[in-house]
Amino acid sequence: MAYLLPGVRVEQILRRPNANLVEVDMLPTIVGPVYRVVRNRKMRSQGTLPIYRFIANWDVFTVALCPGAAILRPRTGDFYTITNTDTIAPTAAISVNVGTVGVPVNVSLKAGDSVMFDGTAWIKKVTMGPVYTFGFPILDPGAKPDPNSTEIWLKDAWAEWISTTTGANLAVAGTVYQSGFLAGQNFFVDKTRNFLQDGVKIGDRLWVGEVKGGNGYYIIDKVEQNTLYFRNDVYKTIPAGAAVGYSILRFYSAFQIDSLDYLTYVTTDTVEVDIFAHVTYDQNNNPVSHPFYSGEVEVSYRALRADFVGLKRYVSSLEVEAVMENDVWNPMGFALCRGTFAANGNARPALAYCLAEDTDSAYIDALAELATYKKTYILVPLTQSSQVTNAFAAHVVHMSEQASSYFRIAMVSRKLTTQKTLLPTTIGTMTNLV
Amino acid sequence: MAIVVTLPQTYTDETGTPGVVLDLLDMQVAIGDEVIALAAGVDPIFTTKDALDVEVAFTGKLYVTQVVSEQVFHMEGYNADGTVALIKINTTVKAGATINVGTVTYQIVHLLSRNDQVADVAAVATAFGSKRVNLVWPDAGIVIDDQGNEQLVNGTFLCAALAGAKSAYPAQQSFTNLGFPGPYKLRHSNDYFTKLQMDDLSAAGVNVVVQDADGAQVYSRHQRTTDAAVFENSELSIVTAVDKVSLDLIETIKPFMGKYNITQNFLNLVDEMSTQYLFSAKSQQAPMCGSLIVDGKVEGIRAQFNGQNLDLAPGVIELTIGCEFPKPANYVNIKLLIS
Repeated sequence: MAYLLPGVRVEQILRRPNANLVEVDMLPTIVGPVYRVVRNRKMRSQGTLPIYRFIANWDVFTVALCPGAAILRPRTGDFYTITNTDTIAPTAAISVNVGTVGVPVNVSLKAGDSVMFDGTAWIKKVTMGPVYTFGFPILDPGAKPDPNSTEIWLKDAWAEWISTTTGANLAVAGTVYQSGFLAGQNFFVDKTRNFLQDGVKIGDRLWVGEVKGGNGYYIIDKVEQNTLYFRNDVYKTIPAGAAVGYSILRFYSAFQIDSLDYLTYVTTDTVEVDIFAHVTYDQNNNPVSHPFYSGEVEVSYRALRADFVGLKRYVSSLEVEAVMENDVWNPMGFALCRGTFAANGNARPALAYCLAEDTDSAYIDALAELATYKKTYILVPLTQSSQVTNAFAAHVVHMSEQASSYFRIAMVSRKLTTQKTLLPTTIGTMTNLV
Repeated sequence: MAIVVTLPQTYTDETGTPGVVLDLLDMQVAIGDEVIALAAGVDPIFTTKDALDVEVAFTGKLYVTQVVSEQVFHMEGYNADGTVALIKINTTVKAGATINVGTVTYQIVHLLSRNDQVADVAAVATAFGSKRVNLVWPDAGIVIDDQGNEQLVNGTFLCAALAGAKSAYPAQQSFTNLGFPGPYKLRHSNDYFTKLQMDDLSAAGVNVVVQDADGAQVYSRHQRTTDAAVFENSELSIVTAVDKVSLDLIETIKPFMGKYNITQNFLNLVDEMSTQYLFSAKSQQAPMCGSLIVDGKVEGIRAQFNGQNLDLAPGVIELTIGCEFPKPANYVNIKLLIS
């Protein structure tokens, strides 16, 4: 800096009102709902059996029908899926006797469970939903979980693909091997099953416990109709005689439960999950469920926040992240942090109008309040609904007329239309063209 | 093998009105329209033969191959590779199913070509037809979440980003070709439509945002508003600059409203305040975009005062300001004189 001699100096400035003195905010205003987002929250840890055996093997036992269940009016061979409207019994439970063991067990049936009847109106087969119920771990006051975004995962889980009480013991005709486990072979035959139809895959494990004469797990290397080939030879022969069963298990490092297995059961604060790996069909076209019996249960969901509504002002993405999730499941937080503030480098404030509901009418109702707020300029509705975008378009035009002089613009998005429905859903009949 | 579908003479339309006469010809159902067939309890509805002549479930798509009459059409199945599949109706019904085989629910949809899609989007922009409405395109994008996974977001995210970028620059800053952070990847933009199709969108007043490479900044190929008819209304930066001047003038003069009476001195004061604001707006320069206005001056100020201007309502001051706003340098026509 150049040297200045100490002294008194005067700088004469012509004072003018300029644009800086009357700087007006032309703030972007993002309009949309705010969701609480919870990701990968562990609801149940991996543990020791039998706590995590969600289901008993009801489908392999003959069980007796309790009084009251006859209202189902079954026919022989029917496979009946209970619906929400069925009344099961006055007690809403049936007492079953496990045929081979004779231990009565109470089973509460619910919508979605299935029962199959034999000719004597006894239950021949019960496919129970292996139900696990838990509460949503974080719910703000008045928050409503969004069933469509709820994801339930099982991690490091074993599913039981086949569980049978017979078929493992050796069968020979004369000296010729026919089926069962024979030491030294790298395969096993069960002529009562069709493993291809059952959906057994390479990599599945076959389990024959020590108590049954086997030696634990065999990794399946090849699948044929009645035959399974293993990576290692059979260690020990299971002798002929008493019926001995085996299980086929499938490991999943991460498995997402089909939403159909819990969506119906989402209430305001809890969810009831049927923990199935898959449902396949047997040779008689009857559904066969494959329940999990171990694994960690994780839930991810979002819940609309009813306690976080109205107009808010933020100066940076950090301020936004302090009060809501910057997550793609929370469009408001994500749009502010990764959109607005990322684009303006946290250099300018932004407004958020948080809706109490994620509906078209909530968006449109918000315009009434925004009409009184002068600081907003660019309106961005977080929806592509034509009804909402039309309402926002009309709003900005109206507000910018001379009478209001609340000048503002809207930035809107509409969904690409790739097809046009010519015939809406209509019932018709069809025949093969001869 | 083709399947013959016979529909009833009346149906319930999309608005829920029952008893509407069904006329496939009037609906413009044509060869190539897709048929969606649904039936509860039957899975699959159709079977076909695989390469080994084994009957398997048909998983391809169904298309109209002939419209026979107002209620009857033929359809055929096509494999994913575009070859015709020899489909037939599955007569195996799963246990518990109660449907009558052959009775199925149908929906016919016409797949829009890219040009049809452009026309559809353009029609939306034309319907808005306002300098205050920015229809930002595309309608979707991909972002990378904190776990590094690709996530689909709709076009409102792009709107929020553009709004943020707009707020960071002076109002007169043109956004044509000006990059800003947006989605990692755009969908249905320059990777989907051709240049001519995007030109059609821009001509209709759609603000088309494009991207040169995945992960690169996005930018508007032309900062159009949906009022495509008037140049000053069609350029977003001019609209926002005009708004900025309007709002600034309000803030400049508002402190005096109501407290002062209409006198010649007060009219002179308003004139002077406005002139000085315009001087300031003209003289403050910003990089790239220059000043908020090119030029501006008070062209007149009058009020019902001293027996004059009786056409104005009492208590009203009419201030007329002429302003020239900066226009974006959209085109350069070079005349190369060769000798």
